[in-house]
Amino acid sequence: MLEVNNVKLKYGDFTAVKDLSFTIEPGEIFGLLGTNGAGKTTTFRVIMGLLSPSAGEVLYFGDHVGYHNVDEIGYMIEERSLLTKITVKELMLYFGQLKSMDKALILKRLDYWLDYFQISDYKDQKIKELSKGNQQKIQFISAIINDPKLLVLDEPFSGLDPINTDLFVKAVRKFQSEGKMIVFSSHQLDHVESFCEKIVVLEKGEAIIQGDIKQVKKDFQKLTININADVDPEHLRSLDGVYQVIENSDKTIVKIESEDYVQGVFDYVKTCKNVSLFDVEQASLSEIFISKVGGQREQV
Amino acid sequence: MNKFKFLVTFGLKKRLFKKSFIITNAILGIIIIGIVNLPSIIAMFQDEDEVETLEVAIVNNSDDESYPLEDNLIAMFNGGYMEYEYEASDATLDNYEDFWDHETLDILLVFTGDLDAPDVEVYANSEEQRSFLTSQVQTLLNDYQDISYANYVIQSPPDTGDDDGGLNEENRSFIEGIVSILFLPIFVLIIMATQFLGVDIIEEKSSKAIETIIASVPAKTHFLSKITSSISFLLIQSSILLAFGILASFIGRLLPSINGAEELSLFAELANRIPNWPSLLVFSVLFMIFGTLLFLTLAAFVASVATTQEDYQQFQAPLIFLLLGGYYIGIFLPMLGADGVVQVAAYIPFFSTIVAPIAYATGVITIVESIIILVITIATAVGFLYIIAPVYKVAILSYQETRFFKRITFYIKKAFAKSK
Repeated sequence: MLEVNNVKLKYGDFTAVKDLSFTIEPGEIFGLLGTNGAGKTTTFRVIMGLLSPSAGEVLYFGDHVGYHNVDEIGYMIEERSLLTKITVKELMLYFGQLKSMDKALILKRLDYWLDYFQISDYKDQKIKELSKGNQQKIQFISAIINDPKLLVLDEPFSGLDPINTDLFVKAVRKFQSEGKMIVFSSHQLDHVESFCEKIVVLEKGEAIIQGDIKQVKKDFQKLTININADVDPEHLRSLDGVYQVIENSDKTIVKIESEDYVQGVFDYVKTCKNVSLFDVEQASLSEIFISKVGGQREQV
Repeated sequence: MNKFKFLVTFGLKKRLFKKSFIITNAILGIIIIGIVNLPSIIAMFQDEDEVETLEVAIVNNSDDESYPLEDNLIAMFNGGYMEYEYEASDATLDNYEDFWDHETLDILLVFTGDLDAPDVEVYANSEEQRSFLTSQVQTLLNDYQDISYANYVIQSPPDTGDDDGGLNEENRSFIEGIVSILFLPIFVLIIMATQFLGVDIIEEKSSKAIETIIASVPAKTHFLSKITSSISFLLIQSSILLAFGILASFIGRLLPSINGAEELSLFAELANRIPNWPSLLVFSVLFMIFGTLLFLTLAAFVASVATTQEDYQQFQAPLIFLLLGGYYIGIFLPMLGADGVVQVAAYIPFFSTIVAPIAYATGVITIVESIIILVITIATAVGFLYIIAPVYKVAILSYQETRFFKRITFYIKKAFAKSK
């Protein structure tokens, strides 16, 4: 289990992370979201023990994260962090041995993952000769080569095409099924939504949304109604609780403040002709994110 | 294998198993063996047929025509230059000026007047021969005049107790002359080690791989492993050069037996001219190790502060100037007789690496002073390690782009605020 307890990190007068707390259980995928500069990478660095928190603590199975247990953790940073002048094999032997692995095991796992990502041919090629996507795969392999119990992934999907993204997702799911803990950040909220059980949304180092993703959506209250009928958009806008109406070519999307206003909209749609769709759904994570982060910025 | 050992081995393998390292050393080996044995090699390929024969005509029109001038002079000439054999010529010239058009005659000497103080006309095609001939003729005339020579006994000054390695003026001049050649490899090796270390660190930092590495090993381990690996490289490379020197000397011993010439050994000559060479060798190695440690510590610090390769190249320039300064002080100032400056420079840790061994070799400092300077250098190097290691830990993961001194001040403050 990973526990982040009331972590605070200050750089002089600037507070990068404010009183952050969350817990990740084995077999859980945890999403850390936020705009650029919100404090995600700093939080990861604190988890990895690269930065010491000004207050609070990070506990990994009840112990502080340090060089005595860091070999059980895999870390993939946001930017490319590969030594480009050496080959894939040399790089993995380097990073693997830094995780106290023996050469035979590194090469065995490397072969497995190269095969999984369909890049076995590049084993003896220099990193700089690989495409950006393949470099991203190599970076991911370098983070999981030690079969970590905790996997920290900072923007793992950036720059990947849908096919490769799917390979990454499956690999992460495999780790989850083996009871490993995964914490990752991403700007692609659809991935987070389909992936995580729990999230934290950071803004200026502060958690503005936190908890189980279903509960977060429920707490958000605002709903979206998809309608396919001959409706008058102006009439919809005049209804109580409706704060936005979007006219698409195939449907009309109505956004309401809460569940209490569904009936009012439904009563109006019943009076319209050619009704083929009336679907109420919770707000997407993206909407929640924009709403909360935008609101936070307006307050400032 | 622990991570420190692994990092040291990895760094060493990265340099030692490179094709460029192997090729460079192969070339260096050939050059060293060649230079050390150059005279022997030339002599080996020079057989007797290649000795040039010069025809000499000697005309004795002096007042003592009975004196065997020709025989004595030819014998004297042949006792001088090994490259030439002088032979008396039968050629007769009506006019001495015809010499310049003569096909076989190389030298013509015409003696007239009183043989005690004769007029000598010297005809020779080569400038080198002209000066040689006049000195030989003068020596012969001295013999002819039966001049008595004094018996010289060269006395040594009394022993003052200062250990200057028993250097006389001639040996000191010899050392001053050869010192730039002897210490050039040390200077180059330190520059190489400094460059390698800096480039290694900045390569990991600029590629952001450092974050993955520092997530696995402590920054201090990384810092010390890089320095250890560079010093090990320096020692291995020095040993290879020394081995080439010893091999060259060994080959040199074999070569004379091939052509029967006298043994020509650079090492024997050095040992003869520098009586305190064993202690000098020990000092040179120790100063090289601890001086390099000092430079490597600074290079690692500069590389950790830099964010890009360009940054590093710019920041490390003062380090190279310090090294270069030490080298120039060491090789030029003893020649200019500025012993006082050399002595002071030898005490300054950044210069002592090269200046101190040279000062000791040339007798500017004593063995006791050398030991004191070595202790100062070691203390400085260790002190720098203690100060820089925590700053390195802060700087290596930071990518600030502020001005150099502002950046350094920030890192130092942060490092020591943290450790309080």
